[in-house]
Amino acid sequence: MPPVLVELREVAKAYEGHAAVRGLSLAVEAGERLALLGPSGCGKTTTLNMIAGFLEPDTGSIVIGGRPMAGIPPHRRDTAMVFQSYALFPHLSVFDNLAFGLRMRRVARAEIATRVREALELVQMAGLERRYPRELSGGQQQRVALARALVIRPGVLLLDEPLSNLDAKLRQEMRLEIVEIQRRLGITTVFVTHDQEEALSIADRIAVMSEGRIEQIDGPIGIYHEPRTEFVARFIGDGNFLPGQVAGVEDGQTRVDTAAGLPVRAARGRQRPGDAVVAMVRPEKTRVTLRPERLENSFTATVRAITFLGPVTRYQLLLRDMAFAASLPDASHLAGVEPGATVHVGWRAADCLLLDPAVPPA
Amino acid sequence: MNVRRLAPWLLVAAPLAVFVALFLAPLVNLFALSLFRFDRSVGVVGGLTVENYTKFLGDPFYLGILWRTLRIGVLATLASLLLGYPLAYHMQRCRPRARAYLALLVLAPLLVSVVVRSFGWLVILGPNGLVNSLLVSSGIVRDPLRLLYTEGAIVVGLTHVFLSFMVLSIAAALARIDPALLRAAQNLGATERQTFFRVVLPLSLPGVAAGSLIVFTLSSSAFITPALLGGPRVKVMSYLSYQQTLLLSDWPYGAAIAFVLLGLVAGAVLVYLRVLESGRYGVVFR
Repeated sequence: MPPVLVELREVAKAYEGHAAVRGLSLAVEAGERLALLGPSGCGKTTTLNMIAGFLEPDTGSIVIGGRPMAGIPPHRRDTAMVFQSYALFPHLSVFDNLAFGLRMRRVARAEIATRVREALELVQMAGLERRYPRELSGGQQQRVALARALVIRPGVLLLDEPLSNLDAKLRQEMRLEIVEIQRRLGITTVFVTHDQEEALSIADRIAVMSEGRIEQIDGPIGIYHEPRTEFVARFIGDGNFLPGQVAGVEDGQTRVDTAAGLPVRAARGRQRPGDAVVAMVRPEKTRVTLRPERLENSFTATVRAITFLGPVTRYQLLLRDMAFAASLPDASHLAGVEPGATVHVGWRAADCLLLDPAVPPA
Repeated sequence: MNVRRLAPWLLVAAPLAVFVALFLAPLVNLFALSLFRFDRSVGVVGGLTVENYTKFLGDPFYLGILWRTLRIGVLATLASLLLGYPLAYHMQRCRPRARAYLALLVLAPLLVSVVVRSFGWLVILGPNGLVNSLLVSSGIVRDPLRLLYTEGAIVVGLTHVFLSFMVLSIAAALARIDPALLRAAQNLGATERQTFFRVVLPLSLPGVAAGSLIVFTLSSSAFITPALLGGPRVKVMSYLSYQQTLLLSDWPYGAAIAFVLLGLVAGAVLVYLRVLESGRYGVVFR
C-alpha cells in the first residue's frame, strides 16, 4: 500500500459560530487522485483551504509528508493550487505567471526558462509565453493555471472546482487531460467539486461530504454501486427511494415493508428486523414489461411519461401513487405503450440496496 | 438619420453646449488674449505677438515661481501618496463598517471651506501656534520656527485636502484586486511582503496614477491655500497670474502665465502617464 502523504486528523473549523467542518479525518495516499465531492456548503472548499494553509483548523491536525502543518504559513507548504477563477496574475505574462513560484524559490534563471517551457509543453501551451492572461480563452487560462501549479513540482496538487468555468465539451476534454498529466507526473492530487460526473471520471477515490463530515469514502464504482447512506445515493446518480422498515431476513435476502405498502425484497444488509431503512434501486437496474416477469420484486405501475434520451428511454411511472423512474437501454418491447397504460416494473433483490435514512425519523 | 441614432447626441447636446460655452470658448479667448500686448497708458493693444511668453521664459524671477509651483505640486503629490497608500491599504482590509468610518474621516477635510481649513493651519503653524509652543515649551528650540509663509506650509495645507482624492482612488484600485490572487501568490511561495510588492502594488498602479494626477493638477493650480499659507512672499503661478491680471491689469501677461502653467502641467501629466504605461507593468493600464 502506498504511503499516506496528506493526513487530516479530527479536523474542525467554524466560521462565526457556524461549523463548516466537523471532526473530519482523511488520509490521502501518495500519487492518488482524491475528490472531495459534495453540495455547496458541505465544507469541501474549507477543507482544501486548510490543507493549503489559507485557513488554520480550530482543532485537529493536518500532516503533509510527515510534517505537522500547525502554524506553517501557505508559502512554506509543499502544495500548489489551481483556483476556481484561475487567479492568474493579470499584470504578468504567461511566462512570468509560471516563473512566479520558481522565482520565489530562487531557482536559477536558466533553469526557470527550461522548466517554464516544459510545463507549457505539458499543457500544450508552448509558444504563448508572451501573452497576457486577458488575451487567452477560458480553456487556455485553465491550462496556464495548471501549468503554474505544476511547474513548482509541489508534493500535493490542489484543485478547487477546476473545470466549473469551462463549457461542457471543453470540460470533458480537460478531465481526460488532467488525469493523463497526473498519471505521467504521479503527483498526489486533491480536488474539490460539486459535479458528480467530474468526481467519477477523474478520481481514484471519492470522499462524499455533507455538513462538514465525510459520509463515505470509496472508489467511484463503490460509491455508485454501494452507497452506504441515503445522502450518498441521492447525491451520486439517480435512484428510486422506498422508505420503510425491515420486516424480516431470510435466504440471504431482506424483506422490507415500505411506507407505500409494497413488500420489497432487497440484498442482505446490516439492518435488523424493525430498523428504519430506505430501499433504493437505480433506474437502469429496473425492467419494464407488458407481462409480469420472474423477478424478486415485480409490481404493476401506470405510465406517466416516456422520454427518449438517445442512449436510454426514460419511463416515469406511478407505483402506488409514488413516482418511480426506469431507464431502459432498449424499449422496443414496449412499442405502442402510451402514458396512462398499465405496465409491470421489476428488479432483482440483489440490485436493491438498503440505506440508512438521511434523517432518522422522529 | 433616424431618431434612434440621433437620440444619444441630443442627450449630450446640453452638457456639450455648456462645456463649449463656459470652458472651451473662454480658453480660446484667453489664449488669444495672451498673444496681445499691454501698454500702461493705453491698455490692451491688438496685434499678435509672443512677447508675453518670451518675457516669462527669459526672466529667472518668473521661472523661479514656475519651478516652485511644480515643486509644490510634486511634493504634495508625494506626501499624499506616502500617507495615502498605507491608509487606503488598511481601509481595504477593514470590515465594511470600519471602512465607512475611515472613508468619512478621509473625506472630512473636503466638507470644510478652504478658507476655514487654511485659517486652521495658520493657527497651528503660526509663531505662537500649537507646533511652535510645543517645540519651545519642550525646549527643543529656543525661538519659534518660521513655519508659516513657507513652501512647506503650502505643501502641508494642500496635502491635507487632496489626500482624500489619493486615498479614494487607491482604495478603489485595491478593491478591484481579486483576493484569490493574493492566495495564489502565497500558495506559490510568496511571503506577505513579496505578495505586496509583486502583486498588490503593481495591480494598484492605476489607482496610484489616477490619484497622483488629480493631486498634482489640483496642487499646481491651487490658489487660495497657497495664497493664505504662502503669502505674497512665497508666490505660486496661480497667484502670479491673479496679481498680473487683477492687481496690475496686465491681462495679456496674466493669460500667458496661465497658459505656461497649463502647458507644463499637461506636459508633466502626459510624460508621467507615458512612463507608467511603458513601464514593466504597463499592461495594467490597458
